[in-house]
Amino acid sequence: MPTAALTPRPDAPAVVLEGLTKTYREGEQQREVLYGVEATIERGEFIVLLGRSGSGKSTLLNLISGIDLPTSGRVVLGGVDLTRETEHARTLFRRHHIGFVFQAFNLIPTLTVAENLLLPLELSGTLTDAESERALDILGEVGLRDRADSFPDRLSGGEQQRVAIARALAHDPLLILADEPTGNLDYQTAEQVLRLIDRLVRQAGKTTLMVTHDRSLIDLADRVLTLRSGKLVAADVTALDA
Amino acid sequence: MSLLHRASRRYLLQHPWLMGLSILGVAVGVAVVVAIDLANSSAERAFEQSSEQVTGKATHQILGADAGVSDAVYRTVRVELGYTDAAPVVEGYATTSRAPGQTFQLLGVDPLAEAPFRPYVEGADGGLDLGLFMGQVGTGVMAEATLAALDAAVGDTLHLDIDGRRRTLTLVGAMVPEDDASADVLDNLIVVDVGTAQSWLDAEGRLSRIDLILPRDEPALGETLAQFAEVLPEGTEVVRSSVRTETLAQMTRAFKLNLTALSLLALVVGLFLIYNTMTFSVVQRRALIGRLRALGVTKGEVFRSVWREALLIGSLGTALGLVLGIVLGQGLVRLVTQSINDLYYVLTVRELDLNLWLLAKGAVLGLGTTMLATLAPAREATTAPASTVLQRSQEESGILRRVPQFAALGIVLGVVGGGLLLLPSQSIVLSYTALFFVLLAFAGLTPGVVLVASRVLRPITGRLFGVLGRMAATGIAATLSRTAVAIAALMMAVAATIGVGVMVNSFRATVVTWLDYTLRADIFVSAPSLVFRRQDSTLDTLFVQQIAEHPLIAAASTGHSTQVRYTTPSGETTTGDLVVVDLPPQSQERFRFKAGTPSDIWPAFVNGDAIIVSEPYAFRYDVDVGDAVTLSTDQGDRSFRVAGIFYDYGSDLGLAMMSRDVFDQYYDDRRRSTLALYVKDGVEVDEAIAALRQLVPPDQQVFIQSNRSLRESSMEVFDRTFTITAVLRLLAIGVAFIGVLTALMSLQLERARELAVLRANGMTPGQVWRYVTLQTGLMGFVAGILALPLGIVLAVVLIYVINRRSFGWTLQLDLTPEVLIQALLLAIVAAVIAGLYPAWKMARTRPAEALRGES
Repeated sequence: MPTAALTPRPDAPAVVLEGLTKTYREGEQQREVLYGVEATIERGEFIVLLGRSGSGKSTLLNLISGIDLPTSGRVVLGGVDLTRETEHARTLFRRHHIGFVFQAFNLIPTLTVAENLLLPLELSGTLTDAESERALDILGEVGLRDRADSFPDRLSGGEQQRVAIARALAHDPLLILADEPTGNLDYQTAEQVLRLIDRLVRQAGKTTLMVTHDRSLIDLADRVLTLRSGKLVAADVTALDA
Repeated sequence: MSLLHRASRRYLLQHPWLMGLSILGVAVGVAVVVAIDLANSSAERAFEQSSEQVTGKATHQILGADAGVSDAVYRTVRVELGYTDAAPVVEGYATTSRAPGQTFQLLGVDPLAEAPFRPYVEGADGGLDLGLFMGQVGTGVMAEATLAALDAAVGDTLHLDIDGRRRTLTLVGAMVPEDDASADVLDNLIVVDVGTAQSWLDAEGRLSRIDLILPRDEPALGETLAQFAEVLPEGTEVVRSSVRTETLAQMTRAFKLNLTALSLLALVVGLFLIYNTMTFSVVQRRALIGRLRALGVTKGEVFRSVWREALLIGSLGTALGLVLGIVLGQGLVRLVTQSINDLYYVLTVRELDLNLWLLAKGAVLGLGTTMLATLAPAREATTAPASTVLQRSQEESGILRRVPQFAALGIVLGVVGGGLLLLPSQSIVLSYTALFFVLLAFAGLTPGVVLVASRVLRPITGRLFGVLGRMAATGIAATLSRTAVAIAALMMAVAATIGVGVMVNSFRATVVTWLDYTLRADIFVSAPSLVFRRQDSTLDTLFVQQIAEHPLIAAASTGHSTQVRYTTPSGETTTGDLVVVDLPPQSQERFRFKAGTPSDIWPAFVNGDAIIVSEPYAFRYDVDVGDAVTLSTDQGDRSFRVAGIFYDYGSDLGLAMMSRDVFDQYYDDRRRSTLALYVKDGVEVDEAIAALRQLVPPDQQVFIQSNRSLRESSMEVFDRTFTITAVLRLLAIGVAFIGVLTALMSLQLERARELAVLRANGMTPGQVWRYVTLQTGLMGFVAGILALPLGIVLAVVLIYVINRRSFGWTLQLDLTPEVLIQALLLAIVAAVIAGLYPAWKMARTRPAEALRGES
């Protein structure tokens, strides 16, 4: 049964995290991954989230995107409290208002580059000729217009990630979540991809939360956060630089 | 077409073998069901047509006690009663060497009375000379198209074989059908004058029946019937025309039902195959589905996407299955017809009846089964976690967690199946439903057994084959979601071969033992009968007498099979076989009784008004020793006490046996069909046979067989009636084979990366090949081991429950180690063969490609 997607309020911050905790049961033990996470991300902000492996970065992304639910606390995107919504409603919200860029690109191998780009638009039911043209323009902006009819396995890693970036932007989302977007790329290609993300998201005024190990990315960020002992705190950029 | 739809369609097209094998699996399952349905319905249709052609517009018939009614009854109806809507009929069967394998229905009619009933004679073309037709014995008409097919024309003569005698038919006219439907009806018909038929069928002065057209509405019908009752002699009766058709149709009910059940087995194995394929395609794409879920694809959309794929596979498989079913049906209809002719009644099926309703039923079954089998995988797909991180596709689908649940479900299903079998019911459908539960119970236990087997086998295969052996054993459990289903499908097919094989062997062994004590005489003489198991053709009376008195013969017993109407103790009236025997004391030893003591039975049988009945008869009509069965005789209805119930495996319909002396008191029929002869001491059987052959009248065909020869031909017919069962078993194994092949091909695709890593670490292609072959062999071994207990359970159920509920036979379970060893080998060989191609593919995979490819 189709349900109308929840609509974010234009005046609300992009992301508000309130008292967010996430606990996993491992055998008899409880393991707290996130503990009392508090944060507000304003619209248009570019946030870089640093953290060691296993610090809970991916868990936090799953909670923000509504893929997973917190043990306690609230995740409010554009004024919509996702933690109060059903799995179906959260999926529809994600479909309409969140763009993903994954470390492993995660393009759909059985769809062409153009079709991968159009997928979020089609899923959200907003695939018009104009929207389609706009999405292909974005493909042009990432320099791959001529590869529109290729399948992902014919593309290099950098090219695949550029398609993923274009896909994340194609449906004009409220928030872009990027999980180690350069993790699978060589240094030079990673540089190009980062510059592209920076240019495109800022150009489009999109709110971006990028999870990474790579400290060189902090230059792109409006703010740098880090997860420490399960809490989200502002990173000491000076210390990081040192 | 939506992008989601397009993505899923491309996935299928990128794995053509997976899609192809799935389609083939559905297709074979559907084909077997459709073929059996079409074969059964074609036989039914042919039977209806042949009934129609002889019944015509008659609403009722006057029938006699056994060998028809006397001519005098017809005169009474026409003259005394003044009833003109009546027509005499004499019926029989004929064959001709011009049309080998085709049996014609011989219909003797009175052309002057026929008009209201059947249009054959009046419709005969070519200037039919009624005077010739009625006045000259041996003249007749056939359909114009049949004459053309026989390369004959009006004026020609045809040699016919009727009841073992050679007759000459002079064609004096050709029947022209009014339309296509009546053309079918006329196809197998030879119409002659009633006098000709009486002469040819040794029925002088007798009619098979008198057809009547009675008023349809009460009270006129009641009044007319009352008038008939007043004038008709004892032993004759007016019955509805449809009664005879209904009785004959009922004979084959259990036979057809059992064939249908076997055909459904192939579909059930196919169901597992689809489940396997769809589960694999879901498990293989869990990461991909996870990505889609992260992008906002809902669970419902994922479910519908998998569902659509299944619909595509199901539709293509069903369409192909319908075509294959029609092709297979052409072959099966011959086997079904052969069995019906061997066991029940004379039937010629000229062509497959493409019944649209049955094709639609096959389509619904094929699609329905596919969609049913897809329910679980589609649901499984919706549980794929939305993934934001790289996730390996090898992740098992949670089946390990659910192994105890499957086992518990298996136990519950087993208990339900066992409970259904213990219910005091005679329902065959219920028995098969129970059997289905038992099959599913074993399928439920399969994942657990595979896990245990993997652990038990690991050290053994490790010792035998080193690290490859350990890996192969572990691999079966590591990919349980795929291997368990393939093993379950193979297990079911192999168990079916054990079950059906043991049942047939047990049946065979029982029949061999039965023949040993039943066929005691040295020589058997019979006239050729069109139905093997019914000896109702007539031997020449003089010939019978000459043989019985021949100097080389010490003793002779005669037999004759006839059809009479019974009223059972429960009040049921039916027509069945009565075998009339004239037994010398040494022949009495050939009977084994299930109920009753021989010392009480024989005096009552020979001198008193007692009959003995076969075990299937007692079962079918719920008759026990001491019960009274009423028989319609030429002297009116008479009660006979059942003195004993004897074992008999010659007829699943059951028969009653009466002594010739008693029969002669109540019936006017003096015909004999068989002779069992005991030669004098010191006389060679072959010598006696040669001497007896000299006595055969020139126009009489007679089989004179030694004991051994009759035994061999009996077993030949027995084996022939089980040919169709063997074909169905093979088809079920074929579907299971496709299932195992699909599963192994799936694993090959899924494990390309794992094997590439092994190859990169130094495993040679030969080692890969051995590893994969060893693993498939182990899968076959586990399937075979599991199939043994299930096969034995199936055999026990088939022998002691389904066979008894279908036919009422007592069979001795004949379980030999050979059958079980063969089954185990079959499972291993089938699995290894199915694994050859995947093993070859895996060994050839270039590690670099597999490592680079995104999973």
